[in-house]
Amino acid sequence: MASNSKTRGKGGNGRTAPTAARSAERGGAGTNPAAGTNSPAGTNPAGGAGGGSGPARRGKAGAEDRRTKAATARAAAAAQERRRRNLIVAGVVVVVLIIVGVIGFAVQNSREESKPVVLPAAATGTDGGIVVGQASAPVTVDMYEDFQCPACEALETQTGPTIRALLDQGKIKIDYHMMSFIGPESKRAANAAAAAANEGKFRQLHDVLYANQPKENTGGFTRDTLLTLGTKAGLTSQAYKDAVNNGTYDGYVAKVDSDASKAGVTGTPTVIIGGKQLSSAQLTPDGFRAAATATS
Amino acid sequence: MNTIAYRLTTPTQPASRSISTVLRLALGAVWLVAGLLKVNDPDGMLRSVRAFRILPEALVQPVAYSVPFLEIALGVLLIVGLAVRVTALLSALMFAVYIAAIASAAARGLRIDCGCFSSGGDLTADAPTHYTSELVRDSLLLVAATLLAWRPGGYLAVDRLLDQPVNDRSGSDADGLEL
Repeated sequence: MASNSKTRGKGGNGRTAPTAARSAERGGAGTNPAAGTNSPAGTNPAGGAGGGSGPARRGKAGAEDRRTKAATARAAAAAQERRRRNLIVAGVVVVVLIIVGVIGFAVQNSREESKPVVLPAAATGTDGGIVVGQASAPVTVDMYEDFQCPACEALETQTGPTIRALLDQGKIKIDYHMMSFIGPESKRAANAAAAAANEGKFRQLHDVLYANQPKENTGGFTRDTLLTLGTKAGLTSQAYKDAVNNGTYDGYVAKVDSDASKAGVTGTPTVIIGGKQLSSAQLTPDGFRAAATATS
Repeated sequence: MNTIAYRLTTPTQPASRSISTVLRLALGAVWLVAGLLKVNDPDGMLRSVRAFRILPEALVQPVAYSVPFLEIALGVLLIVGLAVRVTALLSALMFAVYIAAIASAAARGLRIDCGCFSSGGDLTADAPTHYTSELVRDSLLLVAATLLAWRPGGYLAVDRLLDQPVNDRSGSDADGLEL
């Protein structure tokens, strides 16, 4: 700012410019609260020196000439002042936007109060997947599902019997990653499933929940429903009830969801065998059987 | 001189100002809605941003968390009309980035929801993508933002309040000093 004023001060004609600009700033500082925060009433001391001697030297010229020059200089100064003020406003706005972004980040970060991750007993698979099937099974299937996802329900209905048969024959074992992005009901259901897994009854509850899948986010998977459905799956223990009511595994559920997302799973159902995601054609009973037995 | 083109392209003409005002309020509303729909679902935003598979994991969280707030701030600034040219330019820049991201997702065959007005990100295997309509919409918004950056001087803007009195004052002040 200061160096800029010095340059302007060198030219004879330019001497009025700093004066006019400065007076404009003074006006601006008073009336203009938004720009005024940064208004450099005190930042431009260099321009003051030239301003005093300008009118005296110009006194030799005709009054008319002087007036025109003054008017031109005023217009130029006003334009310059407007540009300068626009820059200040723009700068302030950009800085405010950056601050808003940082605050937003902090707010969202603090909202994500991370609940303690309690691993259920059977969560020994990759990324905390719940392992179902015989340990000796040669093929591991990574299954990503959401209890509320209709396409998962379709898969369970259509291909479920095949999957269960392969599990029982000891040909495959499954790492279940129960995702929960569809809504709070998905989280509740996944929490209940983790509680079931802790008692070795994941498969039973998993199948019961899909057999009784409500429409997405219509209040179908309440805590009471999950307790009732749990009874159908043979889950009557106090531990199960407590886990469902207290959300014991909420932290674990959130971790599974975020690990799955980080692993690049962008939709459900996603079925991965030997690192390869199955196409929708391979999710039919025959397709699944072929994919599951080919790698063994 | 009063041709339609003149009226539309001269910033001081009412027609030009009216169009600028409409563009500004519309863009502001779009940002507000887009931001408010996303701000309450930080998890969903995380998934959305990650699903594009463009940013490294370390940047996913900062971007996902701050973008809704930026969008709301841009919306507010546009609606009150403060620093319109700058906010319009930033809007255009953001739309350009969104367009590039969606186009690249489409080109790489990712099946994702753009998460533009929601916490998208994941699509179940059978759900359709809407890349074309998303790209068309964002392109229209980009054009609107560019027009607004070109002619930011609409009605009902704080910018005009800031502009007027200072110019008058500088004129009278200079008179007092110089003459």
